[in-house]
Order: sequence, then structure tokens, then C-alpha cells
Amino acid sequence: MERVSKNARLKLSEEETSKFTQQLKDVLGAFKSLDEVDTGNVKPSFHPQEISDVYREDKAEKFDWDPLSNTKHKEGKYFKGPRIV
Amino acid sequence: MKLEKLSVKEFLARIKSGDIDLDDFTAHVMENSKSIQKKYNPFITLVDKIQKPKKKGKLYGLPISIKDNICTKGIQTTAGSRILEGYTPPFSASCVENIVNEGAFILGKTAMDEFGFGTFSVNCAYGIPKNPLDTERSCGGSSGGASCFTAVADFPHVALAESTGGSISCPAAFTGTVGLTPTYGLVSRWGLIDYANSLDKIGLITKSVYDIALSLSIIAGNDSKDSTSLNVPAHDYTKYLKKDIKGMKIGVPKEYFEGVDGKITKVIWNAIKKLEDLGATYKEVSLPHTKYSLSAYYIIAVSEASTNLAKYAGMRYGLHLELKGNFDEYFSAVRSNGFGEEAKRRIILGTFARMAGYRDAYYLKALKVRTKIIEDFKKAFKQFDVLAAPTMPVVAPRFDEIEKLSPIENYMMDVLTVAPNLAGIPMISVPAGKVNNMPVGLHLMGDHLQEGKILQVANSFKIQKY
Repeated sequence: MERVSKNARLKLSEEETSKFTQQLKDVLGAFKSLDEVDTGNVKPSFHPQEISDVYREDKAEKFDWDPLSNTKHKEGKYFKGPRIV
Repeated sequence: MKLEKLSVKEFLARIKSGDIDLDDFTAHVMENSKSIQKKYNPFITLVDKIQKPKKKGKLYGLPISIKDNICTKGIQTTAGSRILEGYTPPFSASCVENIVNEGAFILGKTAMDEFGFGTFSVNCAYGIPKNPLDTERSCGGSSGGASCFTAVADFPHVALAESTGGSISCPAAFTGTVGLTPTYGLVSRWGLIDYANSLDKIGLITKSVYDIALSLSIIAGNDSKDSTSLNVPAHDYTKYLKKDIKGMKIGVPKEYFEGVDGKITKVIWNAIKKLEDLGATYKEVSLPHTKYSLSAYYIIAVSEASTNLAKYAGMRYGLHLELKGNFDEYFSAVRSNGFGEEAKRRIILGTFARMAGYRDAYYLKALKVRTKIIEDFKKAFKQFDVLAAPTMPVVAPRFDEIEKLSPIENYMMDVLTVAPNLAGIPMISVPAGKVNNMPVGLHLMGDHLQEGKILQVANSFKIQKY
């Protein structure tokens, strides 16, 4: 659980950690029923129907909205984030 | 001016002719919506002032409510989560643009389980909508606010909703309204806050099948902004409502009656017999992989959700904290503060299912089982026009019953809706009767892009009496 929550960038309380550990075990236990299905030569369906790639011309288009309009952390024309190291 | 029990069709004709005054109507709508909000809490945001329609299009003067995971320019959009509190999109989703361009006006943003994570609209950061038929009971989820408001509003209105695993059908069944989930890709997802990209579909909850057909004609069609949008020309779905159902072949999947409340089974069979009386024929059919659909669905949905929710990091929009610590510490602090319990649970599950060493056993396996489930449906649709089943195994549960459910018991409530959602086929829930005074939904499912057929069968019930 420690590894999973670290990967997910979630800081769990002790209570959450013990609750989620048990629930994860229960849910994954129930999901193991999938092993009963023979999927030997079956292709995975990433989408419900075949979806083909759609291309557009590689040309810049102007948009009329401000991407910084919803942030409190900005400086000039840039987003401001936490330090990297 | 009498607006009560006025159908959308009649309303649109009367406002067009000038028989109904738009100012009087909007005042009536605002006043009533405020009192509905106080009593049943269907909205996260109810607009202060209505933006009057600029164009006299096909929906001129019609109030629209929009599920809060669909972006609306200038109106707060939270997807039911604290992590998006205060987010005001600088653009509107394509479906919203289409509706507004036809003269409809936005009334507000409806309540939902956080990011769509729930079956009962109880995982809500901004208050729980109450079922207008019994306020001790759930409206269903995750489009609970949409179904609540549709059921209780006494004036013409259409709700834009969204389904990933049953979030339109379930609330429609629990509130006695009509809910359509279209074929995956028929309605553009551009401007929708993603839960699971390969499963999300924008659809409708209304009082009548006509309202669905009319609104679908406006929101369906290709959109270059959504690369998964199907290349199908938009067309008029109301034309299917003029046809009768003589000679239609209805399949009844036997697995969809296992574990269903006996009284609900009876209501559904009565509805199927009614379809037979109207000239359709029916036969039982088997969809053998149904029992694996719940596990396959949840693994795929949480895996996709856990990657989609990675973008909520307190930098560009939504919840912000003081910039403190390194990026790991800051992002973790924002996410741990902003996400609710069910969101955290699904992120944990999805992150696990995609991790090295487990990916093949869970995520890839689930995608292969999904192929088998789609094949079951494809085989059935070679024989039948439409499949008919109960929408939900129970009627709307009481809140005190929901509280006692464990996560896995909770997920099991979706057992009848996840398979068609995995397959991306269109489905509609229509009220078919009542059990213990609560409505029961009949679920009609069609092959990909066969919305016309399910609307045709659904319409034979003549649901809206007025």
C-alpha cells in the first residue's frame, strides 16, 4: 500500500491505509474470477469499437481563452510550480 | 400561463408562436428551481442570472441542466469534487455549444458522485440530491442531480448527463425518468471531465422519449476536437418515433434476471409482454460472459481513472495550496486534501492494476474479457433488434441501507449496466412500473449506432402522459 500510494501521489492516514489495504484485498479477490475466462487468443479491446487515428494539418491555431485564468500560482505568462529538487 | 404538465414539444411550439412569453417563463423557472434546490438539492451550481438565448433555434427558450463534469464557459464546473472547487472553464463542451446554439439556456450544474465514482450520488462533495419520490432514498448515480431535477421540475426541461458504467440508466430507473446512453463516440466528449476515456459517454435524462430523440439529434455527430468521435452524420432521431414495433425481435438475456428482486422481474416481464401485444416477438438469449463484466469493468475503469486524475496537482486549476516543499510533497498534499474517499480508493485500485508485475494479470486480462463481452452482444444482435432487461436489480435504496454497504457490495449494484457500457452500445432506461411505490426501469439495449431502434421500442410505452 505504501508503494501504491506513493506512486499515486496520495498521502494516506494510518486509518485510510489499513482500511484501503483490506478493501483492496477484498475487491482484488473478487476480480480474480476473470481467471476463469479463457482469453488465450483474444485481443484486448482498448475501445468498444475499432477507432482509427484521425490526423489534422499541423498548423498553429489561435485560441481565444487565457490558460492562466484558473491558477493562483503564476508569474508573468507562466505557471508557477513547486521546486523540482 | 399554465406551464405545469406541458411537454417539451408543446412548449417549443408555443414559445415559437409567441403564446408563451420568454421573460415570464424564465422568471417562473428560476423561482421554482430555487425552491426545488432547497428541498431536494439537485444542483451544485444554480445560475444567478439566466443568459437569455440569442438565437431562435430548435430549442429556443428551453431550460437545460448540465451534469457538473461537463464544462460550461463562465460557470463553475467541479465534477462533484473539492479538488476542482472554483474552477470556471474558459470554454464550453461541444455538446453544450450545440444546445446553446439552438436557443436553449443553461439553468445550472447538477450534482453527481465525485468524478462519477458512485451508484447512489452519495459520494458528493457538495451535498446529496434526494429522491423526489421519497426523500429518504437515493436518486441513483452518478447523474443523480440530473435525474432528481428532471423528475421533480414541473416545467419543460432537458438534462445533459453522462455515463461511464451506468450513470444515466441507474438514476433514470430510480426516479422514473427516461435516460439514454448513446453509442460510444456518437456524442463528442470534448469538454467532458474524463473518468475513463474508453467508457465515458455524454447522454440525456428527460421526462419523455420524444425529448431524448429531439435533443440527441442536436448533440450527436462528428467533432474534430474529439479524436474518438465517430464519423457519422447527425440526423433527426424523432423520425423513429413515428414507426410502430410490429415484427421487432426482442431478446431477453437470461443472465440479467439472476439476483434481481422478484417483484422487479415481474414488472419487467409484464413490460415485455406488452411489447408482444404491440406486435414484437421475444425470445430468451444467453450472454455467457455477463458474470465477468463487473470485474472487467471496474479494473478498466479504475485503471483509466487513476491516469486521468493524475492531472489534478494544484497548479493550473482547482484547489491550490501554498507552494511549499518539493513537487512530490506539494502534489501529494493537494491530492490528499482535495480528493474524497471513493476517489482515493479508485486511484489506489487503478494504480495497483497498472503496476509492473500486475498489469497483465489485471488490466490486460480485463481488456481481453471485454472483447468476449462485446462478442456476446454482437452475436445476439445478429438475431435480435433490441435486448430487454431490468435496468437495476433493486429499486432506489434508502440512505441508511447504502451506508451499510461495503465497497464491493456497492460495486455489485452495477451488475446489469456495466456490460453494455463496456461494449459501448446504446441503451435507454424507461419507467415500466412500480415496486413498493418506487419506479422500476426497463433497460433496452441496441447494437452500435442503433439508437433509432431502442427509441422506437421505448416510445411504444407512451411514458409522458401529458
